[in-house]
Amino acid sequence: MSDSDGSYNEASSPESEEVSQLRSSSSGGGMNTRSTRRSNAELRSTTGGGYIWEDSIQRPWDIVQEDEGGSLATAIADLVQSNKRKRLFYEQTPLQRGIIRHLILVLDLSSAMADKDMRPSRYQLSLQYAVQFVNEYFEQNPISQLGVIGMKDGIAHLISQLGGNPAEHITAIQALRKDEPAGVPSLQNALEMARGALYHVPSHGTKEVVIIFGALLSCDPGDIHKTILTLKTERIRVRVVGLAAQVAVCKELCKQTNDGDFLSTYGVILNEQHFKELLLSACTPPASTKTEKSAKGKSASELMRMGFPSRIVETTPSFCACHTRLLKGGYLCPRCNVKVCSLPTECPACGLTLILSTHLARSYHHLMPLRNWYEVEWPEAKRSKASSCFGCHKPFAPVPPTISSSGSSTKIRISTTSSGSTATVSHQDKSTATHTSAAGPTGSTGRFRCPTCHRQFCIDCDLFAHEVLHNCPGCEATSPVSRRQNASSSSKAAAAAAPAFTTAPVQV
Amino acid sequence: MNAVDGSAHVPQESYAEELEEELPSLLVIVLDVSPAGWGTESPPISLKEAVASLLVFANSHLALNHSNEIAVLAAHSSTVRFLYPPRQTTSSTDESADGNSTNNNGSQGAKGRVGGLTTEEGADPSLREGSPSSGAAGASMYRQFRVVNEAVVEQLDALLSKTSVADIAQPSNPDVAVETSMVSGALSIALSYINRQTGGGEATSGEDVTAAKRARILLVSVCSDLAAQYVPIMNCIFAAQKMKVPIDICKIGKDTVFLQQAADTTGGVYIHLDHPKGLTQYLMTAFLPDRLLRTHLVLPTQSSIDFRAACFCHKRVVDIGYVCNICLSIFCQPPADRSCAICSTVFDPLELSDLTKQPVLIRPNGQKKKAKKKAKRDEGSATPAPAPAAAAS
Ligand SMILES: [Zn+2]
Ligand SMILES: [Zn+2]
Ligand SMILES: [Zn+2]
Ligand SMILES: [Zn+2]
Ligand SMILES: [Zn+2]
Ligand SMILES: [Zn+2]
Repeated sequence: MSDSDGSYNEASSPESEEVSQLRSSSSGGGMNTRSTRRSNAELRSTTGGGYIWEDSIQRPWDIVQEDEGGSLATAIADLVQSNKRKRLFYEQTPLQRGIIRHLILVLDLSSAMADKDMRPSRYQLSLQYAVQFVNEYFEQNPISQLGVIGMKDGIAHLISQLGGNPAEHITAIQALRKDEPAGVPSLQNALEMARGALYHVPSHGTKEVVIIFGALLSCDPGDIHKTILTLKTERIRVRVVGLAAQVAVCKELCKQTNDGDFLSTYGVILNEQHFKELLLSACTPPASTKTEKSAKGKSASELMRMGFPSRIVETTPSFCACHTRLLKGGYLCPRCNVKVCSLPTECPACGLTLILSTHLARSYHHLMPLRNWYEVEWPEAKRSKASSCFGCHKPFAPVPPTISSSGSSTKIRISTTSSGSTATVSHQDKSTATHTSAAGPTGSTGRFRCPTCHRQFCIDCDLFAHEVLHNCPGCEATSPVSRRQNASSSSKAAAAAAPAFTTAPVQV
Repeated sequence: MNAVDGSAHVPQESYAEELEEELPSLLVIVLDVSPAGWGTESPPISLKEAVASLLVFANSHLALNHSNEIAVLAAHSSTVRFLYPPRQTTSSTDESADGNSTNNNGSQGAKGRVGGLTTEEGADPSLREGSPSSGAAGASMYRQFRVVNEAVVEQLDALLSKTSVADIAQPSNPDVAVETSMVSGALSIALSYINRQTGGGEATSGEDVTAAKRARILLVSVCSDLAAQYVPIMNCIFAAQKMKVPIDICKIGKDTVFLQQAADTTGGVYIHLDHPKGLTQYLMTAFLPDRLLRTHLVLPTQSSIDFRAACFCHKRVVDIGYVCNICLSIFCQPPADRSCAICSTVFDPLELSDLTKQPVLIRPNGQKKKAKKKAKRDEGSATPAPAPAAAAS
């Protein structure tokens, strides 16, 4: 099963990833995905200081403001909202991403992982997150491959081979739970083993290594910088999730292999939640880096012919063509009608690559990202007649009578800033804050509008639509026909066409 | 065997824990009311009968547990509307997009037609009278039932009577009705609604959704052509799978490709009604038990699943497609301009001609010479056939 994925890689040509004209150079990062950006916002990832202990002491009660009635409800609601708001900026350029990925997950199994600064221990928690990572990785990259390597006692252990079956990797990782972390880690050994595992990977796929690194040292047999240079020339990208503190060699490693961008690829965790976020952010297919783009001289992308077989269920068992096993059911090759028992595979009779179309469809939201919705200001909210969220029906906060439907309102929002330090509302600000809260209950309308269909949504639906659904409920509920209708009121046409419809059904 | 279709990633163990307590469940019914589906020459079941059956079903769901909830959505060919709970009357963003059938003549025609679709009697009131909510039964009816029934019938009536002929006409040919309905829109709204009802934004990750409340979607579908909505429907399917919301499909009329995949991926039930007149019985036996009960029941299984996809270029349903290896878009034929229409990658012309070449006939030994000659001639005439093979070797 594990090697069955490789089948349609054979048909590949030397180099396939192409320069994306669409890619904006706005952010320096090679992979400015939503999640990395979110984590960037939260922590010290900007190199210029900003460590959590360097910040002024941050007391949660400082940021809470009572409203006129002495109630905290609005202040709390606003805090919740501003937290959600932080997550609201999404990648909307359809990037060229490496969708067929090959990734090696490197786990630190050294004695540093026995530390109990996370519950129950670094070791157990990182194994637990590794399992989640595997699940999430295959969820987002169903036709990609993964392998797991452990660092223990100064050498690298192969935990599971590069393969496409999540269950295999998970069993292998679960089996580690009984072991104890021991010895020192060796980054070089692990990287060399990962390099070996990725050596035969076809060039149209990405080659990536993700390291969970708990130790502050690496015990290497040779010069690790040579290994880093080899990785760079072989275009293997390395991401590191540090559990303790920043390590110079890890920074160098990420910097060299990611085109100088270590900010989005090397993260040191702040807490358990942040650990999970950093790790799972590696599940999103990476955008092509500059070196990869410039390395592509010739255009050698190709079209693969694939079959989408349908599943059949038979009353009597018959042999599958791939393993000659007796089975009741399987998939029929759409070209030659041969029965195979599992997908993806190559048809044993005609050589057609057979794949489930659902595998391909999982990545489509990367191709066609949903546009960001913009926040509706009070005057606009007043002008619009919508009183509830189009998606979930939740009624919007009523428009305060003081708002005029023209002009723009000043908007002061109690917000937590990106560095994590809180913009506490000082005494001078207090008067203005209460002033705006008289004008608008929270300062923001809590309405978000899709630029395409102009429907208004609540913040929860905004998050849901961009993070889970990847559809705009409003756009999907508007047919192109009726959009056209709105543009030109075609009452004449309707009257003229009416008889054509009425005749047929009435006779029934 | 099923392990490959991706549904295996969803952990199954958590269901067993839920068995302990009886959690309330939310049922979202999506009713496809596209005129093209119900208005065929001899509909196997009229919309009126279907609505009556659905209301019986909805009431039974409410009767199972006093905290059970229900929502009903109508997917029309041009719009989606909440039938229950009804949207506040002040909201009119959707009104404006519904297509303004202000023209008196047009709406009259539509009304008569809708009556014709639903009942033989013709006029709107019949729809209301026929429903279980009105008449003497109303007085002695459990209040919740009546509220649901009346709201659904009222809203559906309003929706259908407002439909103008132009709303459902095809853009290219105004005399033919579109054969589609906004299924992807209805599913998107249903999922947003479920997201709010089952914990809202706090559980967007999809992990704790099941803890709060169980939800499922029942789609009663009549239209057959959904190829244009392939990507949005697939997005809905994966979102539902992530949220552990099964999508049940009750299919009247011709089979629809992607809905089978929806039921299969999300762990829902797909039934194609052989005898649509017995809709009530189908609903009560196959769709009423919720996810927990279903593990103990023998459910109707799908005999086979159509896993075909729709191409991005013509929205055609294909079983063999050409896939761009950068963005994984599906095309039904190699693009004429040799570049991917989605990611604008330029394909290798050599590889491309490899795909388009015709099969070469292998001749028995005796004719070898002849065949060679023929091949030479082919090469000369610049047929794409054997040339690339020679070039590759
Ligand atoms: Zn087999
Ligand atoms: Zn075949
Ligand atoms: Zn909402
Ligand atoms: Zn929209
Ligand atoms: Zn096409
Ligand atoms: Zn492409």
